[in-house]
Amino acid sequence: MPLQEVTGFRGEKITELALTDFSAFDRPLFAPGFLGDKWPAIDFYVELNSVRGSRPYFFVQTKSTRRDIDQDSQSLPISTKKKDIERLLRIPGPTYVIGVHEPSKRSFITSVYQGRKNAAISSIPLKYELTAENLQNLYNEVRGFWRTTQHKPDSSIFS
Amino acid sequence: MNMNSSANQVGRRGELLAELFLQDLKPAFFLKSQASNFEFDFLIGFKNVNGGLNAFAIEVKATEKPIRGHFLIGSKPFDRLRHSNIPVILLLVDTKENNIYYTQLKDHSNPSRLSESVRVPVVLIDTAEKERFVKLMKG
Repeated sequence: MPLQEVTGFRGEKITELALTDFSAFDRPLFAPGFLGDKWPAIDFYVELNSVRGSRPYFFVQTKSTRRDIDQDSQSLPISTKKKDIERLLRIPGPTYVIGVHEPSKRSFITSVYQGRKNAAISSIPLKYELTAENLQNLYNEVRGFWRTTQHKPDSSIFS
Repeated sequence: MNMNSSANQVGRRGELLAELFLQDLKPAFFLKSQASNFEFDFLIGFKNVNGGLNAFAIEVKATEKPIRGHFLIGSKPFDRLRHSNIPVILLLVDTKENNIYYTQLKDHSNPSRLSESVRVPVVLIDTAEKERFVKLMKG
């Protein structure tokens, strides 16, 4: 198997571990479901745990790299395609790219939000590492978004 | 089956942590089967000093509770694994603290037995123990 593919597979596992880390919590904040390699632009569907009466969710695309993080660097270099960001922008709901530095197993997150420039993402700031604090921030952000929208359609022709 | 249940999430984290740990050791081969009747979690092999391969079966157990140097395993699974012709390594994963413990089941010829469980001592794989673990694998 080419090294790039191995890095990708491991990156997906590292992403799942990062999202479910609960060393600072009573239980994992998130329940990720891997969508498989065939689903365009999205690798994970992720639900929030412990929200009474609701399962808010977000989507994640994972990008892995073995490139070094320089001592003076402020960001993790990743490689995404413009069309993947376009796809993420079109998806209703919170969408994120998680960059994985495979050798150190560190993960970093950036949001693909309404208003973000429609262009490939080439780096993720190191300050957005998926630490316990940022896991909680992510949880609060996604939960906050779903509070502003309707939970479900209020009618259907199929009812 | 509720994939989001706490037990499933703990099990899944344990499996992932064990898998990445074992792959980092750069084995000659690493196998994971999706078949429901496959008895072991992984099969792994390392080149030994004589140019051959040392193969091991890996059984992963995950917990979110603190591990205090030992683990309770059901008597039947213990006997089945211990009396297999392939050496079996038990990896016990603390999925909250992200630590891995291990024991080689063949080492326990006379374990402490409770009614339907067996109590086996396990060792934390820290930096020093990791070297011993690798030596065990490579012979």
